[in-house]
Amino acid sequence: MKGRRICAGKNALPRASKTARWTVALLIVLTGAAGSCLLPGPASSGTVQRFDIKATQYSYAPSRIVVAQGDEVHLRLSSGDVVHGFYLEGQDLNAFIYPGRLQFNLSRAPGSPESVPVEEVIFKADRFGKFRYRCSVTCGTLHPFMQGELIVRPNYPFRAGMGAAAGFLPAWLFLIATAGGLPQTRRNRYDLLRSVPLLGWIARRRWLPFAVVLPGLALFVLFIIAGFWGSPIGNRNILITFVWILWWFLLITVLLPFGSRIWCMACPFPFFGEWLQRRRLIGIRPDARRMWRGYRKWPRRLSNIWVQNILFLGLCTTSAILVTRPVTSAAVLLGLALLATALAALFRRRTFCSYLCPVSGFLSLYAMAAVVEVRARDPEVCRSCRTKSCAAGSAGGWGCPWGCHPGALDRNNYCGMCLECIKTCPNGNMTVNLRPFCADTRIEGTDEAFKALIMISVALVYSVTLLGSWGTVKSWANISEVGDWRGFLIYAGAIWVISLAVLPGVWALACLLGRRLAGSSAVRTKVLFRRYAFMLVPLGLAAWVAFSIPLVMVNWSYILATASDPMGWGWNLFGTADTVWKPVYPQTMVYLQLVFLLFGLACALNKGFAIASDLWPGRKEALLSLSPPALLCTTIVMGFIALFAG
Amino acid sequence: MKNGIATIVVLLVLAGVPSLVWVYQKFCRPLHYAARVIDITGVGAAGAWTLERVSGLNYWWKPFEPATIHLWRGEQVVLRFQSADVFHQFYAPALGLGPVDVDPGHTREIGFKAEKSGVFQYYCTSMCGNCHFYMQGWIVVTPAGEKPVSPRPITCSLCLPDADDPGDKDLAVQGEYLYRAMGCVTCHGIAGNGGVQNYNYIKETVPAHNQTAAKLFLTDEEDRRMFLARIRQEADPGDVNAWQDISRPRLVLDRFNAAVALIEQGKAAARLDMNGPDPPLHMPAWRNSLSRKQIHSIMAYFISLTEEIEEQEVSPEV
Repeated sequence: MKGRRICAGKNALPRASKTARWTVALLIVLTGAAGSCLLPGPASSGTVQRFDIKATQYSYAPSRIVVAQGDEVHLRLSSGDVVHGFYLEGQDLNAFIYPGRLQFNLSRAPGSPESVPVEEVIFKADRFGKFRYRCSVTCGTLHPFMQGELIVRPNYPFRAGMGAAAGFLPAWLFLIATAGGLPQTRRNRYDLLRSVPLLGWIARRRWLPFAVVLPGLALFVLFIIAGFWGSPIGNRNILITFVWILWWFLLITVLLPFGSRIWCMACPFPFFGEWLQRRRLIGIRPDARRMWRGYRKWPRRLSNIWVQNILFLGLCTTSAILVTRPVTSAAVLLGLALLATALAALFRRRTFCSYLCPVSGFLSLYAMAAVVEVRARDPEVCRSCRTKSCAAGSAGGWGCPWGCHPGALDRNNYCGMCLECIKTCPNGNMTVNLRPFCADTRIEGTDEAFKALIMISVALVYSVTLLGSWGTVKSWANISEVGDWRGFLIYAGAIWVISLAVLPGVWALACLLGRRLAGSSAVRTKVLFRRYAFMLVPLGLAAWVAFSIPLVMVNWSYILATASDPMGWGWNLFGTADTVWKPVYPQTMVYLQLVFLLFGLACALNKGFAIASDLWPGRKEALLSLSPPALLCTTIVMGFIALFAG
Repeated sequence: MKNGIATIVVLLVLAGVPSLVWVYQKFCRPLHYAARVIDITGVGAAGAWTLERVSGLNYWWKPFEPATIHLWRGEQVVLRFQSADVFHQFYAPALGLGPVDVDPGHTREIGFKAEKSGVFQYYCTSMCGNCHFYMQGWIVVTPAGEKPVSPRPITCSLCLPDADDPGDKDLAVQGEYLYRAMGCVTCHGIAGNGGVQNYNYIKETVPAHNQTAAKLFLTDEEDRRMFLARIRQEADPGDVNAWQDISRPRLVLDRFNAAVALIEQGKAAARLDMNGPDPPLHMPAWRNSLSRKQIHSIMAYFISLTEEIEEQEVSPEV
């Protein structure tokens, strides 16, 4: 790569060529992956394996069956309550299981008219890996999450993933050791608005936010109608499929990494409140600089993201109900919109968005990884600027609704991408930059560090609850249907204790240990806890992407069906209402998840070293202090690999 | 000016989306049909095929009224089926209607013309939860000009909504609980008296179970007591030697094991008229819902029923 300067440190090794170093690093990772694949495993035996699998709402028993590659598998399927399905990934076999019958109907694909009643299905486990069996007949609230797993050993993807993850740490150490110096912070930004004049023109349009929010508003109204008056079946209601599957997936995989908080521009929640405050939808009030008279300031003590953290955890605790019952989703969405409006009537600016919105919390966290940013072109211009129009407003636009001083922005967290500052700046100094992935480096408050830890914990808990095969955990989470309060308390307790005590505790220990290892008191543990938590930003984002991949690949058919029949009233707008459920390339899911998780780990380690070099005077201290948190990150990624691929 | 237009656009969206939804549902959709459309929704949680509109708002709490479907003789209708939760099957054998598979999320439409007048029973014939066996009702076909009759809807009258499993302290008590909780009572009758009509079934009504003791050759009270004690001790019914203290153990056990096997594996109901429809009621295989021990306690309940009947028979003479 041109332009990369490597400054020689005191004890720098002879500089090796970049290609050679990266080749060796790659070899280390590949050795890890290949090595663990070559570990002795079960020999292909070709024996006959028999299993009786009983389906009940919302799990299979046994939920996990393990065979060796080449085995002949005989399955007898039964149901203990209602009609269930059984779709086995990789074998393309689908069964329709009636309760109260010894036979089940077998076909090659869901919805196939050629089904035969059989008492047993026989197939050869010819491919290695992890294959899920999923319910293919809507069987109640948690139906989309009902699954079990068939492990065909040797499970090479799992072994390779674990081996590669383990190889990352030595490879990374090797790269640092041979780098010959500390990495340089480079400012490689690409001014999007200057380079693409059309984008610049669009960004300066006053109607832009309005035009962006309008479709969202129309959908919001449709979703609320669907939630209250549409089908009570979640996977047949557009509110559930479009919000919790499609929107969530797009948000986490596209909007956030590629557009930072661009969603905040399209979000309908603050729309009415902002309208109320501005009394304009497109134009500007002449007295915009004095518009906050009579509005209160949000209390200083609450001016952090702790309330968001708590509200987010609260929603997560009830998420199994929230994301499967259209009516609860509609009530929560409507409630949040009303709350946003009420707060806007009392407090200045986007108070709800900045301090309360449960989504905003993780948007602010992961926006730091985004490849775009709103920044000043020339900081000098802003420093000498007297009007501070970007913060206070001007004839060109409103003052920053997020309460930022856009000219001084150096992190993405609390910039809602509304692009007002681009319009207000009298010097034309604000722009949108393209930048490398994960270019911000600072977590500033304990609230933000905790947010990073909470997001990892919740991703873990969700991966167990919603993507796992444990029926007991699902019935704990599904309190309103099952009514097992003791179980629900265990589940809720687990979420809160893991995310607020266990993981932060382990993280703090790792940082403490790192400080000890570094043998220097130059940096306090509290600072390490906070700063190193940035490693969890790329890691967490990758984990959430890995979590969201199955959501959309498994439930894609429901999205198509509800697009045509949004309320589940039997409409067929686009002819896709009767789309038969079938996962999209389910056998590729594990590999996609592995790629994203390993990518997240690489970014985390890379970022970690940049931060450590920034904190510590010497490279040795930096490496030593970083190694326990780096090891912990590796362990977390291995945990996700075990859940997804193991 | 700009803001004025924008305000109008927002109001249009807010009012327009609901209006479009309403107009499409109300006017665009039913135009395809010349016939009357009857919307029937299966609700497993309420154990009813209902004519009421089921939505996200009311599904969770409303006790939906089982549908009594009124048709005029000779009237052409479209029956439109939907499910509000799980897979159901709609079947009205006496009218030759169905069984219609009603998969959640897919609307099934059946054109139907009622040729004969009368009151006909319909069923849900795919097990759909605790209330499945109550998911039945009536189709009333009335000749034009006459006043339609209103049969009483079939509701969960025998359900045990709040009862807890009494445990296996007394097998017969637990058996009675299971007999009602699992819905056996809906077909085999209160106290196993049977008598429930099963359309085109070779025996016409569902078999009774109050003579089980006699069928198992357990007419002697001492034998019954010993037999129940053995079941309670979980003696192996495959091993005759463990049951030597009852008379004719081999015979008793053969009958007992056959009965247990029938409960576990179920049985299709044979047709009376081979060219007629399948009877709507058949014995489900309980193997996947009840343990062997639970089935034994139901058998214990059946055996205990005989005692009560004999006592009743004896008492007038005394």
